[in-house]
Parts: sequence; structure tokens; C-alpha cells
Amino acid sequence: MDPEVENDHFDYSPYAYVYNNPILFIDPFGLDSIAAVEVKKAAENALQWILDIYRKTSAQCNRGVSHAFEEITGSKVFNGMTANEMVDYMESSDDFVEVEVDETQELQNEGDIIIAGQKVIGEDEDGNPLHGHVALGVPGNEESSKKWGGSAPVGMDTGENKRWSEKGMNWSWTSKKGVSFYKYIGPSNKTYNAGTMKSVSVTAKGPQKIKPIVRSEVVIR
Amino acid sequence: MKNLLLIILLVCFSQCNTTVGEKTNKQSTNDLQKGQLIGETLDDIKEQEHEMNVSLEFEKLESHLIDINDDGIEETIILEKLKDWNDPGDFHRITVIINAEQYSFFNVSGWIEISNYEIQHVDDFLMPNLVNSKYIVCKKADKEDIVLFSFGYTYASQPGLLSIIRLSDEPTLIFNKNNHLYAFEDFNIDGTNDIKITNYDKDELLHNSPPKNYYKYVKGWYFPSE
Repeated sequence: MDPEVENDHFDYSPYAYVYNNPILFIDPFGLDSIAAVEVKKAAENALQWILDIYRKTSAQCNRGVSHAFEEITGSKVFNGMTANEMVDYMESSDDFVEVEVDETQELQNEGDIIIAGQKVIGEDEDGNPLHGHVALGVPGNEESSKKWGGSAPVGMDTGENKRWSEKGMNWSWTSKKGVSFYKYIGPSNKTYNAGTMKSVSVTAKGPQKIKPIVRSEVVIR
Repeated sequence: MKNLLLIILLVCFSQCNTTVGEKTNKQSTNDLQKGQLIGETLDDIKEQEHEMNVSLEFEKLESHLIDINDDGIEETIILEKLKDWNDPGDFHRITVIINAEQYSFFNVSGWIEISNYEIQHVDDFLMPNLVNSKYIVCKKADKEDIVLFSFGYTYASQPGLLSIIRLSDEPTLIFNKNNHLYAFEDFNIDGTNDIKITNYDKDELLHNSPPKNYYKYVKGWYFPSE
């Protein structure tokens, strides 16, 4: 039986191994993969929320990511921001660090919160406004993509004519050029703990940061 | 004697088919130079091929016969998609064969099957369509010219490409921008249909003004109205 049953396991049986998803998760010490599961669930919930409220094709990438981010971390920081403003925020905030595209899927599978974003400003030659775009990285398997140079991480996207909780980001952007990936390292007032396979409670206190916990520390435990 | 003639005819017929087939099979990125590239330059594609260590190969999706220049002879439009391609796009090359010349238009980012999303602003846009296709729409622009509409995949938060090719003795790309088609009508009442475009979808138009500018169709090219 799962020794962590007393902690937050939501709707899963204590006898179930890695939430009945051995392809996505591993748990060699019989502990937990709660962070990745939370991100995945938050992405699905955000998608459903967008589907319930907005037309199937309208551009709602910012609202989808903001909804999921709030569910995972408890932070409303992105509420009301456009995609461009979200990218600006992640660029300047101490709560985010930029990571390389090649390492994002592994981080996502470990339960890190990764937000992909591209800032696009100005107008086209006909005076139409241009918009930025954001998507939330989710756990899963990279998808093959020649246009992305071999493979692309998977993400949730609720942008223009996009409604999915997990699909290769090559379906969000035509190429990885110009797309930045930001890892959240800030505080959380919920039970989410990025980079670990174990959930802990953390209370948000201003700009205080959590020391990122590497996987080896969890394994040693 | 009759049998001999029949055999000769059959051999000729099979040779003709083989030639057409070989031409199609031999198509490579080199052939793209004959037509105009859309979206990315040929150099970019070659560079991508080099980086990915792949060659871009095509397979036929649809072909259509249509009398473009009203000479009683039907021309051919071929739609092809990239082989073994896991990126967006239902088709990536449009080829028009007219007067034994081949004009190709390539879009590595992909055009797609037309859904309600692409034509959300234009009621009954699919009717009439001069070809029986779910991927392209061919319509009369005026008494003489036919134009072909194709719609690109929607990346990020911009509308997909709206590509319009004028079908004539020398098919030409006359419009290629990331916009929704808003209308295809004769706005200036000169006997030729024009287009209106917008970046807004139906929801966004509730909070924004309808497009003021439109593109006039002049001698086969769309120009912004004054």
C-alpha cells in the first residue's frame, strides 16, 4: 500500500501505482508524483473552464494559463493580464527563470511549472493589432516535429482555435524560434512543490522564494 | 491488323501515364522554384532540410479539373501534403498545370481543411465552389478571372494565412496574410469582387469595430482601398 496515503492523493486508490499511469510516472520508492499530477489536472480543469465559458475558437490562451497557474499555486498574479503582459512579468520576476527548450519536458514530467510564451507587439500593415501567446507545459511524452528540430514538448493551449490540455507545442507555434520557456520557482500557498515527487505545504509570504529541490534530494529521502 | 493497332495504342497510352507519373514522383524542392513560395523562402526550406537531415517529399491529396482560361480545355489543380509529417497542415503544396507549364505554391506551415472557423464571417462561402474540394474554394472574381482560396493553420494567437491565388494563364499569388476573410463582395460596384479582412473572430468583433479597409481586386492583384 502507498505509504503516502495520508497525504494528498485526491481520488486515487492507495493501492494504485503512480496514479494508474506507469507510462507517465515512475515512483521507485513508492512515494508520490503529486506535483506532475497536479499540473496535469490543472491543465484539464482550465481547458474545461474555457470550454464552458468561451466559444470554441476564441483566443483565450492567457485565461487558460492563468486559471491553471492559480489552481496549482494559489497565485492570482496573471489574472487580467494579456499574453504579452504575462511574458513581460515572467521575464522580470524573480519567481521565474528561463530554461532551455530541450530540458522543458523533463522538468514538466517532474512536476515543474513551465510556461511557454512569445511576446508579439505592434500592428500589421493593415492596422490590425498583433497578440502574444502563452501555453502551459504539461507532463507527457515529447511529440516528434521536424519543424521544431526533432521534437516538441507538450502543453495545454486555449488560444485562437486551440482547445487541448496536452498536445505538442509544434501545434501552438510554427517553430521554437522566438518562444521562451519559463520555470516557476516562486512561492505557493497550496500543496504543490515544484521539482519533487512529494507534496508539502508552503505559505506565500511576499517575494520569499523556495529553494528548488532537486530530484536526488527526494530520492535520498 | 486491328489487333496490332490496338496494341500500339495501348503501349502509347501506358507510356503517357508513366511520363505523368514520373514527373509527379520526381517533384522535389527544386521544382518549387517554378512557382512562388509562401510563408518561408526556399533557402529557409533548404536550410531546414539540411538541419533536420531530411528531404521534403510530397504525396498527392486531391486533384481537380477546371477550365481556368475558358478555352474549353480543363486545367489541373493538384493538392499535396508532406510525407511523414507530424506538424500542422493538411496540405502544403498547390500546383496548377496549365498550357503544359507547372506552377507550384508551397507553404511549409500548412494549409488546412476548411471548417466553420475559417469562414466564420462569410455566410455560405463554400457555395458555389467551382471545384469539389474540402480544402480549397475556387470562385469567379469577375467575368474573366477565377480565384482560389486556401486557409493556413492557426499558429499562436494570429489568424491563419489567408492565401488567394489568381488562376489564369500564369497563376499568381495575389494575397497572403494572416487574416480572417470577412467578406468577398463587389464593394466598389465595378463588376469585380473585392475582399474585406479582419484579425478579430466573432467574439472579439462584439467589442471591436468591424473592418473599415478592404482590398480591391485590380488586374489580378488585391490592393488596399484608399
